[in-house]
Amino acid sequence: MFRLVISDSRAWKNLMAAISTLVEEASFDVKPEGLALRAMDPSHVAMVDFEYPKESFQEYECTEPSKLCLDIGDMLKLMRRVEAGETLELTLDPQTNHLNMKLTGKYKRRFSLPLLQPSVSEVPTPKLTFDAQIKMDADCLNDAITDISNVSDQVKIEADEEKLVLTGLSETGNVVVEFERANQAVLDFQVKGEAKALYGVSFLQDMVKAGAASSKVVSVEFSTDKPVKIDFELPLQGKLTYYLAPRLE
Amino acid sequence: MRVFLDGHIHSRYSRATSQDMTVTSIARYAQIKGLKVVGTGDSTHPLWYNELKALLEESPWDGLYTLKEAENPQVYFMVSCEVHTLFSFEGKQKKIHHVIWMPSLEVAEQLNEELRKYGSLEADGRPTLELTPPELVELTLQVSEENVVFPAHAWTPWFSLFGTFSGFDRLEDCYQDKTSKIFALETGLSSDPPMNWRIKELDRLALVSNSDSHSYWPWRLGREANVLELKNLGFRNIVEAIKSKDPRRFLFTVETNPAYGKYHWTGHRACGVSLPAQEAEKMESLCPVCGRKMTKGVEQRVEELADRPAGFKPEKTPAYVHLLPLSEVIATALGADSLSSQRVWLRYNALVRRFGNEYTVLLDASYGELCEVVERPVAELIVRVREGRVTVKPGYDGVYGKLIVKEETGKPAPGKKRKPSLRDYM
Repeated sequence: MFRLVISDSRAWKNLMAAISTLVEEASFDVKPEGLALRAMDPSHVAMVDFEYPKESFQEYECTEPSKLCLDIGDMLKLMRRVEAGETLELTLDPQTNHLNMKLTGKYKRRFSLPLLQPSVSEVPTPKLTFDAQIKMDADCLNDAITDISNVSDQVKIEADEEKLVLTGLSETGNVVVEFERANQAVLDFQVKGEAKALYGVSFLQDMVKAGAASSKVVSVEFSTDKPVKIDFELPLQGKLTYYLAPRLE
Repeated sequence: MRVFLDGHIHSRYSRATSQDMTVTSIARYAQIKGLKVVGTGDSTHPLWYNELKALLEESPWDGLYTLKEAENPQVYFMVSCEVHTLFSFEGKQKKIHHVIWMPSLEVAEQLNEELRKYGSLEADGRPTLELTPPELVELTLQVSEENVVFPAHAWTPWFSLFGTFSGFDRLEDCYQDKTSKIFALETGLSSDPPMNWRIKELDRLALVSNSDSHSYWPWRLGREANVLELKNLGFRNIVEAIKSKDPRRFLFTVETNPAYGKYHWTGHRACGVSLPAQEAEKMESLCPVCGRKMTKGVEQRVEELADRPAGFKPEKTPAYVHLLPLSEVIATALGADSLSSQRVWLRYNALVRRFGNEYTVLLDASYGELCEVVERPVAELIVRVREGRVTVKPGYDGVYGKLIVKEETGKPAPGKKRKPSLRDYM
């Protein structure tokens, strides 16, 4: 038995869009305590780790753990015209092996999506310790990455005890964005010594843009030449975390 | 005897062609490649024609020529040219390229006299002529019924029979009442026989492959070719073998992987965007970065015109083999940035010295034999290319495709520094 109701279907759409930045086929773990997904992009450079506890749903019924695998792009297509205030109900039809979606607002809409063969491989999270942990305004980080993406395909992220600096360098031009620990955009700033690493801007931009649509607060955590963890705070202990491998100079 | 034929190249008198494209250098590199017969190219150009007359002599085989200076000639020249027809059709301007083969330099001279009435032959090795394809066919066959005309690189977006920019949807629309005189079609780098088999109208045509090379380097010359089994050489025997489409006489074509061609996928070079046919169609061929129209790739164009599903294979047709230039294979295996780097040439020359020519290395040399000459990764990649166990990043909008060493063993491409992945931190 599986049935869940989401009161804000637009928020759900944003979360699915955040997952779709890395994977085309999403294989969710459906458990009595909530929904979870952990997956890497095909090049294994980036990972998304998503958890949505049952408390985050308006209604949540799951009697036994199972896998729910679907083409997330197709789901987003069906949700393209979703309106604010519409509720979304998801149920499984084991007969046809389809996921049924019911959108209820001023009127009712029903869609169904075929389920895919789920992947059996379990993906662990990277084992990391972080020298820099900075909590900040997600929109400000999104703006900074967007500025850098205009000139460069990679971004250098550096932090010392005073500030976080994001730099994009190219023949087109240079962009340097500084977040000092006392700035309004910075909510918490913990840096041990210095940390510096280079990341592909394309992945980073997709992650931060998609995450900022679901959360106002983001934590950026990294160490020198190690993967960066980008953690968006979701309500009721939900989790949307990305990891991105560094580029080595 | 097994004969490798590249029937479409250019001289140094064609635009964007190496100035070193001389008769001598073509003969030298054709031999290294393993070509027995190579087109002269540009027989319409007066200066090149004079060079051909001065430097070539008739061989014992009819309609084929050899270098006068060669003591023991191994390479034969067949008189060839490419022309660009410019004309209007139903109010639209059309620009189509055609290859012409001729049985002698004398016939070529007669044809030149006729063609110069329609445009300057001096301006370019591939002259632009203001006449329609049926007129070109009529005129060419009037000069000699042995002459052969066929559409050049039939699918490329620019200047081709099915080209998306100024071509046609049907062979018959192009050649009209002279369509029956066309018995061959050059598939071009970006398409291969299976793609052409999807169009029923082409069933009666012999699908030929040539390099259209603008330089003599072995990664250009002979990169595509026709392989014939002939009792005797000679222009007529070559034409008859191709025309017959008999797999016992026209054995196979050497094809680069179509993804290697410069126009396989739809894309926009300026934005670095390339897309397969289905995705490009979804985007209505508009660049997702700048919104401008993308250059439609051959794959998408074939999808548009295909009246059969992918995978259809006609009966009794010459086979084909996907190869890539040996220099490209060596450079990829070594992680070399340039095909002409010293370390690539070193191995290329060693392999050719041992096996006689490049085609023998690519097609026939065993893994064990290759390992006696070059390091294992190079030998492995040669065999994998031959067996089709490689991936090519598709070319688009004028950008060549790129051979990628697929990490079958999970190991990085030799010579390349591997980028870290998250797996390294688990």
